[in-house]
Parts: sequence; structure tokens; C-alpha cells
Amino acid sequence: MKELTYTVAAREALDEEMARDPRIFVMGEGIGKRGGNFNTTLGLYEKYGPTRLCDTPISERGFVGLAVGAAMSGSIPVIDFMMVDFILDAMGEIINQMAKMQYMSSGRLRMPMVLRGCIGIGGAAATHHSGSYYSIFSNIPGLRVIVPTTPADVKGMFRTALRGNDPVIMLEHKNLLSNKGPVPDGDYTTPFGQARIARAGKHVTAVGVALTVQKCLQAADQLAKQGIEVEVIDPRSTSPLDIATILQSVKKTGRLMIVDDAFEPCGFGAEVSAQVGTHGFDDLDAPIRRLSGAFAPTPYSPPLENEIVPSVERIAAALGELVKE
Amino acid sequence: MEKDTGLLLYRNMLLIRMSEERLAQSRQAGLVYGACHTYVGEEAVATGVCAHLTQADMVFSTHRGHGHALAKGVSPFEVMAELYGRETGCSQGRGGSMHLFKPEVGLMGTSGIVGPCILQAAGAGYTFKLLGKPNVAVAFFGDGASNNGAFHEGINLAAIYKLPVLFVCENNLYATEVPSAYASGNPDIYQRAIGYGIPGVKVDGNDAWAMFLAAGEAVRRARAGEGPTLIEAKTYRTRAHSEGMRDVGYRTQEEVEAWKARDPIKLLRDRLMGEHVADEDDIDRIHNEVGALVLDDHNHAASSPMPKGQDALRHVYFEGA
Amino acid sequence: MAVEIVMPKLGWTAEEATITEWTKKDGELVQRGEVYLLVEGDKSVNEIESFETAILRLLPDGPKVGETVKIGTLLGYFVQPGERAPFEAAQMMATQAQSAPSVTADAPSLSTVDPDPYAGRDKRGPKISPRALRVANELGVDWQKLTGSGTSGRIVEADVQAAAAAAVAAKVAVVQAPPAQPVAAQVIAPAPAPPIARATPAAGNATRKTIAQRMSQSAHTTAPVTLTTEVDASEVFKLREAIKGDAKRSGVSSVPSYNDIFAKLVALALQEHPALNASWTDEGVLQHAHTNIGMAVQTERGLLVPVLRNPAAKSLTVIATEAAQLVERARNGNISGDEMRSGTFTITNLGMYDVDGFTPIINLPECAILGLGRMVAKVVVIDEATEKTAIRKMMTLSLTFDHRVVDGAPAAQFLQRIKQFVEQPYLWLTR
Repeated sequence: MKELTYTVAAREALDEEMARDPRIFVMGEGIGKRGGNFNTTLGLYEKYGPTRLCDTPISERGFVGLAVGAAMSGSIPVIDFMMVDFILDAMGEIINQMAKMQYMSSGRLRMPMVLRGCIGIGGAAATHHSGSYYSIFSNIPGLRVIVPTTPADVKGMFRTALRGNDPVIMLEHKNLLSNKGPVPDGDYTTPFGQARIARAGKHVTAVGVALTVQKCLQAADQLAKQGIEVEVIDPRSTSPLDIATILQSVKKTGRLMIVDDAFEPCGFGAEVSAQVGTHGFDDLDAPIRRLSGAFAPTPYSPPLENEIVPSVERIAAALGELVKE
Repeated sequence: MEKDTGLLLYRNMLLIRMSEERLAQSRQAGLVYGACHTYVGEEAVATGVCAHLTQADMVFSTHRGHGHALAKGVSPFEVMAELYGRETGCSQGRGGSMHLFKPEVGLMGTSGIVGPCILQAAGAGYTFKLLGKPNVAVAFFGDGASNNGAFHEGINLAAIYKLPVLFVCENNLYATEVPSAYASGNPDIYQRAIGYGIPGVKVDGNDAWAMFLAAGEAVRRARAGEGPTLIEAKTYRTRAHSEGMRDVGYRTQEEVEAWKARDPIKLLRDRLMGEHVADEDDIDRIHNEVGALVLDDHNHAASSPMPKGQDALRHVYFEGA
Repeated sequence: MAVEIVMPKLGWTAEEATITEWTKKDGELVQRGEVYLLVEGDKSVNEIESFETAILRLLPDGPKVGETVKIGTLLGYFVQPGERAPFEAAQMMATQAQSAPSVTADAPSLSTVDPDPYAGRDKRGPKISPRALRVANELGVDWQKLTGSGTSGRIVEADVQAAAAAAVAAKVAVVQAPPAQPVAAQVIAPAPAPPIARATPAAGNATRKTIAQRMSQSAHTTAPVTLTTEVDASEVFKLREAIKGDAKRSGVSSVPSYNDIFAKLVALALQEHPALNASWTDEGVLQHAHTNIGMAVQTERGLLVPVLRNPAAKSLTVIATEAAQLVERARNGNISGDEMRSGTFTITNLGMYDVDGFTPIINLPECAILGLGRMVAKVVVIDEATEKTAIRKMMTLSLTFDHRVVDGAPAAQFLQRIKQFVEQPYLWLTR
């Protein structure tokens, strides 16, 4: 067990997997000699050379489409988007090609590839560097969508992605990158579709995504002083979604709030609500609540930016109300 | 012209032609449930290029892909069974006309979206480079795709990484019904290669031998690590965009007749006979062999079982080796 | 806004019901919570309460008292004072159409002509969360009488749990303290419902009809198999005699009957053999999470099956009190439909008629039923080797099960477990 930052833990996974599997290569803007805008590939170019650490032109659709062909033909591409907003230029390649290829080839082609990038509102990044699009991707059959929260999880889940055969979208919240946490030694993997109970409690269940897991934990600390015990669940992947763990928690608490930064309509919270409404109806002691990002593009100036994401205070207040509801 | 090669090109073009005409009939008979985009008139392109490929070389194709599949070695049976929606089709009934897959012989897929095949061929080229394989990847696409961003991005990426790829543009003058001359600032697509710093070649796409020679040089360059080539094959489809579709209002009957007179199969036959490379007997033998094969495959395909409904949910994700 | 009154759906399976009596007259003001209609169906007479304070208007050509109609049939309307019922508006429109068109001061508004079918929906009864409703059903709490503690007035699980705890405390107090002081009783029953003069339904025809339908449906759709076994009930006999003697000394009135004792031990055995605590549904076998035991009771109106909720978790004394009340209400004809629903297994006892073994018919949608025969003293062999015999209280148990839902071996194991429980009550008495 050692203490690593989120970024270093993810980079260790990439480095170790590249060392054991020559089919893995990385593409992205500035991920070669420069080592990535967020140091995601720092030091790897020297180790693995330009073909495996492949700098690209600003050509997102091009290199995603290229990576699809590379995966189809036996490579394991990792695309490092820096900001996941840039991925939107390649949506056709992702949804029509990458996600459907195994199905349309009746399982004869495999699609081991990872698209990674930063999500999240914060740091006055404004609207083209702040998107959190996990709900959109989770709507697509054929994709795996992971949102690791801790250094240990990002390392274990990145490994799982690189050893699997399905296309994975790995979304890293930019405000988690410098967080430190314990990372197990040795060759461990963390499975997809298994939620983590980040904190146990019996009065209300809070499901977060990425940074909002941390915010829910802080809100839970505040509420504990008032005798309210919040159970915080980190789904870790939004597709596949471990609804069983959430249902189990709601069975205990009877109350559920989903907290995330992304837009509310047709989103992750709506999916969890619908499934709990269907499978956990008789366990609900109050209506399910959602606390999501505002239905607006992301503004730049801090007072504007703060307004549109759930803060710890707002989460705590909403959970407190839900317990009384 | 070498006899074996000439007759092989002739046979493969005829196999595509007879399969396509059988499919057109089957479409009218109700055996084909969805679209049916035939390759009639363009057979020389796929045939000339694929004559240089091994099974480990990879082809990425477009919505008009029956000819590419057949030229790459997918049997008429598997193509027809696929269009007939059968379990025995090359995509097990999941794809139909626009989604033919047989990676076992290097047919990496035809596609309902114009353009991505250009990027994917570059990707296969990247794999060959990364893993040090001696293979080439080929993207077949039309003049329509050449005005799509994928054309620019894919060829540029292949050029800067010097990937072993052939970009084969089948310029049949119309993107569905929109004339290439209207849709392109410069209708000579091969000239765009200059912008990417790679060779661009213009070929008579109805001349199988010319296609064979041009593709041969591009494949040699690719295997030698000299990078990609853009080939523009000027050709024409003589049937409608899709079987059963109205085929009037955008081109004249005279134009269609003029291109029919330059039918690639007829042109090769005239040359084989004119240069005394082959005789009537050779030609008749091929017609008998291919005719029997296509009829047999059609019957077999039409009597194949339909897929089971519950299989519709399989293979969304990897299910194990 | 006029609100439609339709024949309500009673129970799970009823498709029609009979109007027994309108307890309010056409044109009379009905207070929210007051009973305005008695309906017989699903084997019982049900009181239909008003969800709002409004004037009752009966459909002039609607179904009459004694008539059996389909569920959902329109019977009348609730209107607000000054408001016309839709049938009056229609009559008026027809009259107006015949006469010269004229606008009168009180011409019906469009909304009166075309009543909003969802009007009044948000005024119905107290709000309760799904979880609280589930728990209320499991614990047999009458939530309609509770006040919700949620910020919006919703009854939540905590309210139901509190009421259930208070009810148990009250019942135990009644049983244990001779001068019964139901201190906590008022928590759950703040005001008794006003007594209602009830006409005795003519020979209980609807009940007989339901019984006939259920029995033939059970006989025709299940794959019934009956297993019988003879058990030594001497220990149960001794247990009951001891409680009886003790009760006499302390003045306690409710002594558990054999049915009560069997309800508890069968419920405990069911928890160990959940395969028998199941129903056959269109989707397959549904295993129930709760264990509710129906007790077949012969009444003037025919066979009724009041349901004991979760007897596995209750003491014999509590079961005896609840069962006595249920049986009394069943015999008096004022048992509610709710008190006969949600059973998962039924016990039927013909011992008092000197019957030994028989083939009970499964009470659908349950999958099994246990028949109790008479208890009779017999000479039995205690030890074959020494030829030792003794006089013991013996009885025959008959278990009918639906072979579609459960196989023979598990059913036999279940019966065997009951036999153990009867012969050795100390195995379960402490539970």
C-alpha cells in the first residue's frame, strides 16, 4: 500500500500494462514528448517511443476513427483527450462505429480500446472544457462508461479496461486529479459494474458520480453532527450500473438522492430513479430526489460557475430535507 | 497481359456481376428485406485491387460493398444469405446489404455511414506499423465520401504516420443523386493527394487491367513502408442507387447507355480475345462455372434458416473467446 | 367539479360486485370519511367511504340495490353544493336544444358538462409512502387512521412502526392485566367509526357465488396432491391444557385454540420451507416475503377465510386475541375485505366434526392448504422392542399442495417438519 495521486495511479496502470502488452498504444494531442497536459503520460515517451506514444494533429474524429480501425485489426488504442469535450467531434465514430462493431460483426471483431479525458465543472474552465457527458454515453449499447473516484479505483479500473475486449470511456474529474489516496501494491484489477459503499448510513442514501461522491461524503460529515446518517454510494461505472447495491441501500434507508454535475433531463439520476422506482418501489419512504447541474452551458466567472453545480452546503441541506420529507 | 491473371480478373468480375443480378431479382421477389446497393458497372475496381491482397490484408468498405466482399473472398452464398436475412449470412442476419463482415478473410466491414472506412483503414495500417506486420489496408469509398471530413483527417493521418494504406475512391459521378461535379470544388479527386504530400493516381475504373496495374504499384509502396496512395477510379454504376429506387431526373438515358457500352466485363473480354490471350472456350467455361456457382449459392441461401429472435441481444459486449 | 362514483374493485380477483345498500340518500351531503355505500363482493360486505365532502347524486337509471354489476360501472356522482350532476346537465342541454336557444344565468359551464375525470384525485385519503404501505400490510396496521409525520403529511414507515408497537403493547396489556386498561389503544384508534345500520344481505348470494367460482377455479387450474400423516399431538394438547388452567386462575379470557397454535407453528415451518409459501403467477412461481395464515371459518354466509398477519412473529396470546376478533367479525358479517386478503397459506379444521383425513381445496392464489383432523386418544406402540404401548392424543394432518408450484419431496419435508413441531412444541415455542 502506498499513497499516490489520482493521476500517478492512472499513469502507473498505463505504464505497467504497456510493459506487459505491446499491442497498447496511446494517441492524443501533446501526449508524446510533452507527457500530456495533465501529466497523464509523463515519462512514457522515453520508455516506449513515438509509435506507442503517438502525438496527433487536432483531428479528433480522425484519430478516434483510426483507433477504431486499429482495435478492429488487433491493437489496443488508448486515446487521451485531455478534455472530454473534444470527444464530441468524434461522436459518429464512437456511437456508429466503435460501439456497434462487436455487435455488427456478430462478436468476431473485438474492440479493446479506451477513450479517456477530464470531465467536470471547476476552475473557470468555461463551457468547452467542463462537460460531463457520462449520461449520453451510458445511453449507448456497446460502450462501457467508468467514472473512478479514488486513486485505487482509477488504477484498478484502467487495468480492467486495458485487459478487456469492450470499448471503454474513462472519465476523470479534473478536481480529483491531484487527490492522494492509498493504492494497493501488486497486480490488482477493479471490476466494472460494482458500486462502492463510500460511507455506511441508515437514514438516507446519496448516490454521487465522480466529484459529487466526495461532496456527498463532506455533506454526510456535516449531517452526522445532527444525528443523520447518510449512506454514500459511488457507482464507479455508469454503464454497467450496479443498481443492486443502490437497491440494497434504499431497502435499508427508504430514501434516495442522486447527486451529479451533469444535466438533469434524461440523465444518470433519471436512470437510477426509474430503476429504483421499478424495483424498489415498496422500499421508498419518500419521493426520490435529484440534485444535478443546472440545465445550462457552463459559464466562466466564479459566481456564475458556482451557481450551476451542487455545492456541499446544498447537498447537505437537500439531504436534511429529504430525511424529514 | 498474362492469361492466368486476365482470366482471374474476368472470373471475379463476372462473379460479382452475376451475384448482383441475382440479388436484384431476389429483391424484386421479396427475398431481400431492406436496401440492396449493387456494384454493377464498377466491378473492375474491387477486382483489380483485391487481386493483390492476401487474407491478412484488410478491406474497409462502404454502403456499396457487395463487390468488395466478393472480391475479398466472401462467398456469394454468404453475401446472399445475409441480404436474405439468414442465420448463415456473413453477418448472421444482423447487417443486410450495408453491413457485411468477414474478418476471417480480411473483410473488416461494409458500412451504412460514408467516410469512417477511410479512418478505419488508416487504423489497420497503424496496427501493421505498430506490430511490424507486412500487410496493407484498403479503404474503398465513393466520390461522396471525398467531401466528408473523414477523407481529410484519415488521409492526412495516414500520410504523417506513413501508413501502409490504399485509399481507393470509386468516383461514379454521383453521391446517390448529387453530381460530383456539383459537390466538389475540383472534381478530380486524385489531385487532392498533393495537399497531403502523397501520390494521387487517376485510373480508368472500367479497365480492369489498368486498375490491376495501378493497385499493384500502390500495394508495393505500402508494403515497402513508403506510405499511402490515393487512387481515383473513374467509373459508373449502371443500376439505380438502390434496387427498387427511382432512377430518373438526375442523369440521362444517353449517359447510362454510353457507360454501358464501356462495360468493364465486355472491355476485358474484348481485350483478352483481341490480344489472343484467351479464346471462346475459356470464356464459356468461366460463364458456366460462375453461373452454376451463383445459382447454387442462391438456392442454398434462400433455403437457409432464419436467425432466432433471442440472438438479437447477443454480442452487444464481448462474450468470451 | 363532479366526481364519478363507480363500482369499486374489491380484492384482487373480483370482476363484479353487488350493491347492498346506499347508506346515504340521493341529494344528501356526505362528509369526507363517511360511509355512503355498502357493496358485497369478494366474499364480504365492504363499506365505501367518501374521499371528500360532497353531495351524493345517484344515476336516475343506474343499477339498483341488489343488482350485481361489473367493476367500474358508473353508479352516480359527487357534486359540490350548487353544482349539477352531468346527467342533469345533459338533460338540460337536451331540453334547451328542443326549446328556443336562450342563455340563462345558471347555464351549465363547460366544465360541468365535461367533468375532469381526475378531479379530486389529490384529495383522496391520507398520503402514505410505498414503503410505509408495505410495512402496514405486513404488520396489519390500519394506516387510514394514522396521521403522517412527513413534511407533506405523508405517512412514513416510522409512523406505521410506532402504531404497530402501540397496538401490540395495547393487546398484551388487555390480555395480561385483568382489569384491561388499553392505555396505548387510543394511539391507533382515536375515534371508533360510527355504527352503521346494516341490512343483512339476502342469504349471502354473492358470497356463495364467489365461493363457487373460487372452488371450481382451484379444482380446475391447480394440480392438487394431498399428503396425509398421523401425528402425536399429546404435547400440544398438554400445552393448551396448561395455558387454559393458568388463564382460568388469572382471569385471562383468550386462550389459544388449536387453530391458533397451528397458525404459529405452520408459519414458522413455512419460513423454513419457503417453496410452500408461494403462488403461481403468469410470470412463474412467486415466493412471498411475508407469511400470512388464512383460517377457514364457517359462517352463516358461507366459508370465509380471515387472515392472520405474520403469526410467526407474534406470541400465542397475541395471535389468540387477534384471531378471536377476526373470527367474530367474520361470523357477524362485518369483516372487511382487507382482513381477508394477502394470505399466503391456509389452515382448515374439520376436527370438531369428527373428521380425520380429507382433501382440502387450495385457496388460490396460494399453493397449499393444511387440513386438521380430530384429536383422538389411541393406543400406540411406543417401543416395538419392548412391546411398550401408551395412550396418546393422535390426529391426522392433510396437506394439499399445487404440484405446478412445488414438488412432492419438498411438500413432504414441510409436512414432516410440522409433525416434528406438533410432537415437540419446545422446538418452536421460544421463537
